Amino acid sequence: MRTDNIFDKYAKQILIVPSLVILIILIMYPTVYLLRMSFSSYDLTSGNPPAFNRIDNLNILIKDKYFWQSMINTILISISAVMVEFILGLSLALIVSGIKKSIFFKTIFIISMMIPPIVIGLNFKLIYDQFGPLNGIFKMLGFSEVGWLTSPGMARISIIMADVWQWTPFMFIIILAGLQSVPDEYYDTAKVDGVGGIKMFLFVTWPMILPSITLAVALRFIEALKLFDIILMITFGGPSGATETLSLYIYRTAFRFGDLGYASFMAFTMLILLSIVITLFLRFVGLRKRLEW
Amino acid sequence: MIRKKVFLFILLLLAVVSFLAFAEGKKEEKVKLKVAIMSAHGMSDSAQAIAEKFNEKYGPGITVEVTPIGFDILLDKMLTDFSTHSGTFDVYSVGYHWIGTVGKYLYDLEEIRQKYPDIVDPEYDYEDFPKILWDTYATYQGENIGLPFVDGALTLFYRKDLTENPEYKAKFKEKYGYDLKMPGPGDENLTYQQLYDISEFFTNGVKWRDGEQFGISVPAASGDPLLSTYACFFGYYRRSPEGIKAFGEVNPDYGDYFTNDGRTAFNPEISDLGVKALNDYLNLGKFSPNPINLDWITSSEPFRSGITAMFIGWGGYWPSINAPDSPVHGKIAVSLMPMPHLGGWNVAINKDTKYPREAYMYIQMLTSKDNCKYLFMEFNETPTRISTMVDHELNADNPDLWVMAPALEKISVRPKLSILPKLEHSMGIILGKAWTGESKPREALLECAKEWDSIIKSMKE
Repeated sequence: MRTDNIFDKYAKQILIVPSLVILIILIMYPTVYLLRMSFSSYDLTSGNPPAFNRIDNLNILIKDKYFWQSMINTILISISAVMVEFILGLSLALIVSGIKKSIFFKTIFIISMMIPPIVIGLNFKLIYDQFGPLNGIFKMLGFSEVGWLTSPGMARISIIMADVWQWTPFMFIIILAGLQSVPDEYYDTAKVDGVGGIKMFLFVTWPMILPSITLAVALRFIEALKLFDIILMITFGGPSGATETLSLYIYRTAFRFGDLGYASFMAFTMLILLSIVITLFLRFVGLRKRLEW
Repeated sequence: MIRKKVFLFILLLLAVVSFLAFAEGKKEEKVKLKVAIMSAHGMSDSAQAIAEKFNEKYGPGITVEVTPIGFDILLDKMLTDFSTHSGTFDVYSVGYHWIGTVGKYLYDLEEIRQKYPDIVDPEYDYEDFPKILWDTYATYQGENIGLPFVDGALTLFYRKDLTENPEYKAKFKEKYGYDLKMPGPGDENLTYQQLYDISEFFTNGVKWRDGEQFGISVPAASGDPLLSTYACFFGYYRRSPEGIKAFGEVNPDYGDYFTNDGRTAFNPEISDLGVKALNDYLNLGKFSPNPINLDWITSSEPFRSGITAMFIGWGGYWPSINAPDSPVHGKIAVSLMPMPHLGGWNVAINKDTKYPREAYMYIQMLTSKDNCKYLFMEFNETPTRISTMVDHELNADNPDLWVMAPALEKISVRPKLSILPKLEHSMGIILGKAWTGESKPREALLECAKEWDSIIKSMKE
């Protein structure tokens, strides 16, 4: 009897234990391990075990121009890509939401999301080739060929275009879901009040879909900051380091340079920065939302 | 009663299982070697073919399983395996330029030979390997850490149907004042000026195809292509009397890019030879599809599809470029670069292997004299043995073979240092700026030299 009582009393806690254990193993342990490695010197090429080195990795990071360059590249590429994806995704969602049988468009649009980024990278590498189909079309139309991957600026744009191609549908789907969840009554009431066109969008649609937009942009931004596979396949960080993102540089440091300690420190720094950026973004959006309401 | 029966049944079951496990343990342990081989250039096919021979001879007691792994991830795989001591693979193919990075994790083969003299093949003939290949592929810090498996020298592929065309030859002589002739066996190597002239001629001196045409494919993509190809240009000056005077003799561990006292040799503050070499490289790039996009594979493609007249690439590309379905099949030949550059692979044993004896038996078989010849005949595997390189019958049938021995006589080499990937990365970014026009060649070299010196300094610390 007594056992039953204890179980009843702590049922919630007891039931949560298995999930908690799994979470600790899968999330907490790697995070703690990463943190430990971040303050260690661990050079895989030396054959020596990790050794605690206090804040040496921070000193290296401060002076590491490649880290800062890759940080700038990451920010430039991810912000640009997410902005374009948002504009295109929103436009597409607005167009498709007006179409009654939109299942065909939804299916077509989400295909790109299902393709592995490595495959997309390989395809775009061929598309951007000097003798590839894109330049072929340009030449056919009488334009001169474009060096898609030969200058730092164009290479960044090319990477952004590949990312936009793959991830615009993600924005589209989430924003479309938001649009379709807006009750018709709101529009009817607004119409009665004489609101229409852009005003209808700004004062009825936008506030209602803002949570969906926030979610879509936040998720995409987190993913874009981790951009890796496409760049690995298309440019491998070139030309002259113009497309080397943080993820790629961390990967290179860990598995090419064999400097696992410093790579862990960079990864940990990236984790903190990512958390700060996302928190700020969510607060900013939340504040704006309150002001508008 | 039932409980008792169930208990007895479980007890009996446990006894049977324990007996079977004991009996299994008593059986002789079977050895299955796991071998990771780079997948390109037919290397993994070659390793697989020898694995089949090996399994036939020593199986089922000892068997070999070959796993092909792509060039791009092989080093990552090795480093992870070695540093975690997981012993995923017993044997690896190791690019010689990675030896500095992973050398500490490789078995000293002399130790195995001493411990198991019964497995040493008396016919193996170590003297049959060119000295430079033994020194670079097989030796690290005085230990024998691998056996030379696949040779690699940057080679000049060219369209012989173009260079031997009488009309083009006459036009070339008229324009440049000397004969258009690609060096063959016994000839002097081209100079970079001659290579420049020929590239210019086949870019805009004569119309030899409909549509776009280029004189040469010059790889300059960030990473290994840029580092190796620039070594062809810099090594040309580095190994000249002027270069030896300025930098001293080449230290095999530091390679052509360093002075004999370990400073970055292409530093314009030491000598102008680095700038000269970079200018040669950049100038030749004018006659190529955009070099900054060209890695080893993407630079071979324009040549294979008939857009470029020449191509700087590894000898191992011959089979794919001259394959029967290739648009240039039967129209191509090879010659020596003005200064070739050494690539190539050994096969080495993971220090964490449980089966060093068996692993040695396999790599010994893979790199034996007979199998070197067999692999060249079957898979066009670029040989590491002099006997195969100079074999008259093979040379008569294979127009790509003759360059291999003379290429090794005077060839530039990369550093065998643990920090090579860092050097490669910084060179890709900084010299990449000379290719994109963001920096002038002298500025780029100066910046790169300073960066390299600081990386070397940190390595020494």
